[in-house]
Amino acid sequence: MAEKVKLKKKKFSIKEDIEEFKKHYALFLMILPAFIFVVVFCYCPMYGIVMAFQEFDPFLGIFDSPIVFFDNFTYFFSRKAFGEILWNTFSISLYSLAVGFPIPIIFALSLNSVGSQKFKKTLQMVSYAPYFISVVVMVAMLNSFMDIRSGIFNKILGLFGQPPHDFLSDAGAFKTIYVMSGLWQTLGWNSIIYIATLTSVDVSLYEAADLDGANKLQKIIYIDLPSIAPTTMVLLILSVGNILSVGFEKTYLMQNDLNLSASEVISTYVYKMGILSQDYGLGTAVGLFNSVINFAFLVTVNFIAKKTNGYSLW
Amino acid sequence: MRLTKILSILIAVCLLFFTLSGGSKKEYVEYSNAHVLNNLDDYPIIKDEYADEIELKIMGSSSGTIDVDWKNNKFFKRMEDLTGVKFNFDNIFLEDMYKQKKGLVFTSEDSMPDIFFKAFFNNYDEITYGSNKQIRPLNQLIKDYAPNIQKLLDENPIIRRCITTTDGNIYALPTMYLNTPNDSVMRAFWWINLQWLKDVGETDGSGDPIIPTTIADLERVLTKFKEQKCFSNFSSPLVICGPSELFNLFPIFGLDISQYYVQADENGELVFGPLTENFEVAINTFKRFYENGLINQDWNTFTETKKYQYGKDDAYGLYQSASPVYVSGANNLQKFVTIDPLTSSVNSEPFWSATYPLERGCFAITSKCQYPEVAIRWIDTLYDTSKPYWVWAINGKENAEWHWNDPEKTSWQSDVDDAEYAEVMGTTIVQPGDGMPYAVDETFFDKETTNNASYVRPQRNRQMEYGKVSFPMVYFSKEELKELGGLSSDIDTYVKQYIAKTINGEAFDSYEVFSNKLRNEYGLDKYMSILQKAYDNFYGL
Amino acid sequence: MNQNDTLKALSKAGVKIVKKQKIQKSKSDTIFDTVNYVVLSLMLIIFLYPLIYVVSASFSKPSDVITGAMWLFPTSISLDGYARILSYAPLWQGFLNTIYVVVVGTIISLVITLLAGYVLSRDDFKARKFFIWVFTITMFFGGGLVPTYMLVSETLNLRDSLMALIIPSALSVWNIILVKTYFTSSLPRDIFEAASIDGCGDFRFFISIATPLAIPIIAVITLYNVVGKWNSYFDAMIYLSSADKYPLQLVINNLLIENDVNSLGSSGGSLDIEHQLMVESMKYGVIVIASLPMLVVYPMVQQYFIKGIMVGSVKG
Repeated sequence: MAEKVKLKKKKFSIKEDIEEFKKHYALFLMILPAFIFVVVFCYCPMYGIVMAFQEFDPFLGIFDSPIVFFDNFTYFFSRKAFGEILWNTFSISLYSLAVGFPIPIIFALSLNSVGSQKFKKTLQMVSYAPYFISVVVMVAMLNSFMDIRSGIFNKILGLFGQPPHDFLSDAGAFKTIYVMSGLWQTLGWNSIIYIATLTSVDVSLYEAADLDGANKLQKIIYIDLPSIAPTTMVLLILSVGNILSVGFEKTYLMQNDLNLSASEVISTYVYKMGILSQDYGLGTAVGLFNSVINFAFLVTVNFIAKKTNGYSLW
Repeated sequence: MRLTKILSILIAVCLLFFTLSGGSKKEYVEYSNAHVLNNLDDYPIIKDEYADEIELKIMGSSSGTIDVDWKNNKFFKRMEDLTGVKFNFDNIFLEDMYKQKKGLVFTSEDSMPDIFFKAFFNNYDEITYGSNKQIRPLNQLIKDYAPNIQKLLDENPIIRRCITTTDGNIYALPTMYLNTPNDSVMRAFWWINLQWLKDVGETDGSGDPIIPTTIADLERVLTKFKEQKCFSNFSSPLVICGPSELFNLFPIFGLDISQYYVQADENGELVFGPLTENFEVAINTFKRFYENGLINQDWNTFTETKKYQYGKDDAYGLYQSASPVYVSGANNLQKFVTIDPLTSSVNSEPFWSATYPLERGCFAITSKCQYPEVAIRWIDTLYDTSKPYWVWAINGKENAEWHWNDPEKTSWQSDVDDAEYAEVMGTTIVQPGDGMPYAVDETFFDKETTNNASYVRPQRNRQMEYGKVSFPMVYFSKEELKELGGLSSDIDTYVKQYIAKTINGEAFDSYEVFSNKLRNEYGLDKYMSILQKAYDNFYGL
Repeated sequence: MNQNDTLKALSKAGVKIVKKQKIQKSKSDTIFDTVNYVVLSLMLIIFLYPLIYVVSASFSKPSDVITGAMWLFPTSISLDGYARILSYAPLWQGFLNTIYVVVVGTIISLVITLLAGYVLSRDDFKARKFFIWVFTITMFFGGGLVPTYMLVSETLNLRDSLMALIIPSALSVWNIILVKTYFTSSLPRDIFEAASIDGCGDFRFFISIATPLAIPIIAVITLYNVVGKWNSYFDAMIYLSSADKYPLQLVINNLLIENDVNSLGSSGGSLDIEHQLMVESMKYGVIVIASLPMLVVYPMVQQYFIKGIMVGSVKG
């Protein structure tokens, strides 16, 4: 009996599918370009993931390289410093998230409440400019600001009567320097999406609030925040989905023997391991490990978000 | 939506197979007859009737100081006039780009070049592309068509050993430095401030400065420097620019830790430097130096540019450099002199760390090349130091960019103005940035008549007499490379951290903990056995 | 300002304004405004200082920059850095190449992204969940450099073509999701229902109603695309080999390497170190020149999301 019902359901579905297709054929066509694109450029190369399970040799290709199953993974997990680098990667990410996520929002809200258009525009422009400084120059600037002899940070310390401090070699300070400089560079840029969303808030809502006697702070809490809530949730979910992706270039440039205990992350470690030989298998395996963890985080946060306030990716 | 799912999976699978088509096995081009070549001592090297059809596709890495446009480079023009061989220069890139493309270019037959010039192939490249038959073994080619290279290999068995991989093939040609003192090369020399020595009273009876010969002497002298000569902005006499420079001072204690931290003892057995007593003595000495302010506080992160910037105001007592010009400026040249290697309480044999006189992986011929005999004959031209051709690559042509000062050829002079040097030479030579496949007669540069050369070269040669090679240039197999890569990066990180933190006085593992961890937790046994095997192989033990 | 206008209008219309309330409002608002301005001004300084540093460094002698003698304004002006950069012939070709990639690439990206984002926001679209999964997974799992390289340069034969910089990177799932979120939250269902009753098809609805309402998000996505393409250089590095096709960032990268003091080589070469140290101030000059166009583009786009107009039409 149960089986009969199942079969019926299946047929029903396909019929439904075809009807849906006819009704919304325009939507299917509209999404087609993006779909084709994703299939060609994302799914086709995806066979590369198999390399994670192989002792890959680009010459032998995918089909002929020997399969080693999880060897690449165990090799990676059994590294001496694995725990430390995993922790560094996580903590730098979480730190960046904790600091770098709310502040652009607060910044956008603040800016939105400012009366003077001139001030608003200037500050926006100025906050957006640091985004264009390349990683190499950024690190060079950091080195120069923190220089033990001539850096401005040490000069300020001098004003307070403190002896100069070698920030560049300070493992304890590394994460803060990394995160804060990242925040400085991306604050303005990240706030753009919020500022844009805030402009689509219905003006009449403000007017109504005025009549109710709301002050600016209350307007922010009751009007602005809810209007950017969907965007915020989505961006939060997406950002959490990058939890293990700490950038390679900046970290590598800022590393030195003295701060390694805080600055060695997954990407730089894998790079160093691969200096003598190009191990595609290992590189892909680590990448896959990162992807799986990132994805798991994303799904979890998305689920929590859905349950608590209904905003989610799907 | 089941339908959509099915449809999209179908599309994806189709495209997948579409993508996977490819992957061809390569076979070598047979080059049996030399119908294209003239006699081996004749120029041009190819017969006239073939001159037009032969064009080799060249791929190489250009450094910053020479133009990427090798088409207009005088060196290549001169070589073309001489040999008749033409090149296609579409694949010359700056080092950054070149590194990326080097690996990617082997993914398809079409994109592969005919030859690699200034190739920067490392161990992995040579054995991988070699065993994949993407670059050719050169042994037979050299025997048949490269008499100069053959002669050099016969006369210098060490060089032959250094460039032969474990399967007995030579896959890439190196830079060869000939006629160097002690048959080895080193690049770094330590310069001490003579003026300061005089000023602090380190002189003998006749007022000539005495240069320290032991580490204890040095410490005393540096302390005097610090107290009497160092001014406020740069307050330490011994300037170290990064950990590798510090490593160059370890020979004072009998240790060479620049090659995998190992060196051989009298029995040919490798000893791991950091686990020796000497190491502890060395670290303690440097730690004391640091505490007393004799070494710059930021020695670990100090950069070359900063070194020059502070140095030109004559702020240094002792530093490492190829020449004082690069640190103290040309006008302070004579104030500095090299110091001979020092001895210490644990080491009475003074030496500097050196390597065998070659740089590997500079030139290779791919399996795609239709005229490998032409390619090898062409590059052979640059391996005859009795002819002037190799000089074109590094100094330009005689009577065009430089000239002999006398008919006996005892000294020469550059005709290019210093201010224009970079611009003019950027389109005339190809050596800068290293990686140049040729043979260099080092004595040629002893004959240069500039202030810098005439002052520095003799000192340099004198220091090179103390050069000692502690570990040869070996080839590891792919598996060994992978294992060694993992082990050595961990060991390297740990040792470097220990050195940096201990010297700086920061809290870290004690020497006991350090040596225990190395012995037990870092796979030291496997590490040493891989290195020992390679060492034994090399010396045929 | 809106507040005042409204009040004025209301009072003109005869509505009594309770003054007491107004004073209370002003007080807490004033505190808020003051705090706001102070904090934002502080931020202004924090942002400005390093930016001024960059501009100053680009006009300074390299030695001043390295020793830290210059810390805010140039102590001695030197235009050598700029002279070197601007006389670098490939620079101008680089600008042209980048402009081409930016314009074509942004248009293509924008169209694809908007269409896809809109479709995904329609929760009456049954296949929606499927497509979202299809897209989202690609943000995490990918084949890696070598398969993509082989696909683009061999199978699609885009090796050494500027199209290799445009097409593979045309789609960003991140952007699609942003567009989708925007539509979901600012396009109420009732409009759509009203329109479809009037016989408006999916596509027409998109063109005539959804798009005009989406101007702020279009502005943002355009900005993201323009800046992204302007800054990119890795793709160019691996796919291009003809120097006359190099985009700006790659040209700049090469320029800096060509002048780097560390590539002096092993046997002498030029002893003119000062000349070589030029790269220190050039690094900053290059930032200024390369980002100037972007800083000019921004205000043009900014007006689309500073405007307060919006959505009155929806209420109607």
